[in-house]
Amino acid sequence: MCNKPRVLIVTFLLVLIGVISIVGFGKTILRVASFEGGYGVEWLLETARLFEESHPNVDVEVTTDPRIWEKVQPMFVAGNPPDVVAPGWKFDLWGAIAEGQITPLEGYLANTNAVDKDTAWINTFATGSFAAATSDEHIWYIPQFPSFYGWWYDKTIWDEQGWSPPTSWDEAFELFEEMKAVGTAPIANQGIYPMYLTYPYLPEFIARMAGPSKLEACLNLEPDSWTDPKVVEAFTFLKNLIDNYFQEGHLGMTHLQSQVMPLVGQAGLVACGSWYPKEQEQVWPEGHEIRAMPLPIFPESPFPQNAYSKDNDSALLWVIPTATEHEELAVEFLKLLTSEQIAKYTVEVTGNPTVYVESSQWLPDNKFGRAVQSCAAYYEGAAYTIPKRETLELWYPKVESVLENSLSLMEENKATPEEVCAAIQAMANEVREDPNTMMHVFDLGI
Amino acid sequence: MTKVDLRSALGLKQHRTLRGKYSPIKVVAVFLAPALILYLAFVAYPVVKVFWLCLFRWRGVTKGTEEFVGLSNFVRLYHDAVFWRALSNNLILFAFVLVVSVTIALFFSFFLARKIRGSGFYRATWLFPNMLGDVIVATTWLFIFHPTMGMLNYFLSLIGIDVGATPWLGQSSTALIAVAIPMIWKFMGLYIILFLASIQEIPRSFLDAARIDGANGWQEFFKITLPLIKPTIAVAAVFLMWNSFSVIFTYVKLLTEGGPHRATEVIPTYIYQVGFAYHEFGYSSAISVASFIVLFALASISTRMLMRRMLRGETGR
Repeated sequence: MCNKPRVLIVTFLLVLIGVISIVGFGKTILRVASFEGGYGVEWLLETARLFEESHPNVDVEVTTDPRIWEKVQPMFVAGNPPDVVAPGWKFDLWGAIAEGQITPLEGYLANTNAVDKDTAWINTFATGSFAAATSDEHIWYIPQFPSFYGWWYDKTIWDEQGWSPPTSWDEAFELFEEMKAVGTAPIANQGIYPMYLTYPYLPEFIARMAGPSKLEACLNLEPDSWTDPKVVEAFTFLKNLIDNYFQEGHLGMTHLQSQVMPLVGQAGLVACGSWYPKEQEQVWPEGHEIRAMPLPIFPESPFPQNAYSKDNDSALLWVIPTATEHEELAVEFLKLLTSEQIAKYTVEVTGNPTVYVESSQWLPDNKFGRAVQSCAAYYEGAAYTIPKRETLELWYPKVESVLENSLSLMEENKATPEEVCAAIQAMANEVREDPNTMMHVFDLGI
Repeated sequence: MTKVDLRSALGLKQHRTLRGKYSPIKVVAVFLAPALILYLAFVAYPVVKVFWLCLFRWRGVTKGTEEFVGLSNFVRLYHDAVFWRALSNNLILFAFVLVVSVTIALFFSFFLARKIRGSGFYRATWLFPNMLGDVIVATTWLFIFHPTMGMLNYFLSLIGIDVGATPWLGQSSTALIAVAIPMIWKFMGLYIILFLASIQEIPRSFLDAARIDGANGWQEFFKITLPLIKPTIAVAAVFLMWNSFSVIFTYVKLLTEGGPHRATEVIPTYIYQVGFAYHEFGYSSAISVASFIVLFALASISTRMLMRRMLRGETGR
């Protein structure tokens, strides 16, 4: 026989437990969502832990996922996004900004102090951190990890071979012939992903050969910018590099397959971002050291040669949705996330600098830290930096798509540099003239 | 009209804790409801939504910002060279996978049906890839195709075919076929089993009579076995079509990302790119609708052909 009272009591208790777990005894729930990838999430969990310690009435609910945009996008549509979110590179961040879904942060950055500091929050960020985050005089997101770029090589193998980093392209070509003579392909390349030809080759070639104003014109999609003879020259130089010095078979290699080549002596160098050392962790030969060098200079060029690609990793750009009911708490959370204490912790656990000013000083003295330090070091003397990934890729994905496909055609000798530039310019014109495009202004400020 | 006692017909007994009479229809509905609700929520509703969204321009971030554009997404689709490239890639893939899969599967199933020694082992070997996930299969073949360290180039060189460091996935002349091969490898076992079962259903007397009349092995295969298993081949073709238009997404995404320069772009990857890279969910919905129409047409043709053959079989040829 059914015992109705017992069933009712059990049901009531279950409901009560459910409500309590949701409501949390009157605590405020701060929902944080983040991309999870090569940088891990320990720094985020540590931030959440410290935040809860300093805010006993707040529970921080952290959600992380390698495809976080698939989770948060429906939440934005439903009008219930997390309170603090790094939605990943596939999220339409600028679309959300255009539709009023994101809170501007310049007021908090300029008018409130950083955690445990007597200076404005914005002053704790490395110079240029917000260049691409700014539009219409508003700052829309807080970056987390800067990416530096260069040629990466196995220093141990190079020392054995008696090779040293070239400073000019003439020196580089001489070195490449030496490499070929011993059966080592000069340059490995992530051929399946043509965007690696812009990490950092193409932007730096354009900047150094055509000049900063031409680079600005290209990133602003100005008419005839991509078909400028000097820009075409940059593409031609890249093509020459591909045809004569890239490893045979590179077209069929993924990023992981190609990036291991310098470590096994099959290639001398590979171009990549500062995530390279951590990405090679599983294949790093015992006792070897990895280093980075900037791309060689064009001594005859009248333009600054210390122009380097650098951008904030688009996987971890933090925003506060306007729909949040805890804006002040969200700001405090981001302040803690970008504080000196957490920055130091983050650098130590990830082996990567953060956007905190001079954070590379905390790079650990291990093989990862030394490798990344070698890359970050030459940025100290940079004339300016080029945030290609944070601009062209995020602002104008269609132009980026044509750029990648055209570079792929060029790699396979199915298009000349002139044809590639013409195709990019055609798409740039189309995007610029589309009334639905949110146009940005890229200004190097020099 | 004779009343039928549904309770008895369904073999249902009245449970002693239930009070009053109950309708078997209601019982059936209650048991079906969870699956039906899930189906409506996660399949039917999204499909209807796609058909609605294809008439709008929408970035997919804010509700209420959808802008009605009518059929202009389809006008744009008509002029979209990438869409037609993706569609033709899909159709080429389908044709290639169909021919290769059916041919190899028929060959092996024919011999397995003859109860050769070790047939159980061969069956297990062919079925094994089918148990692996698509991601595992694609990742494995990524290494097999490696230009300098991959098994394919190495084994070819061992048998005297020096292909050097051919980038099978990185050159447009081979990339599309290269993407199809892992999928064929994975699903081959399934088709072998399908055809084997069908071959084993053929009445022994047909084959005995053919042998008595002097038919050799090839004649037996082409004149008797093949015609009788054509309906099974048609069913396999429908499975292959589904694989070529949906499962292929995983292989393209992991092996080539649609490159080199769209050489392996297929409809599912293009839909994904338009939606999640270009943030044009209205247009990506239009591509989905157009693809649905194409697939529906192909599936209808295939089903009609199958039905016609089956009916002809019933009436005798």
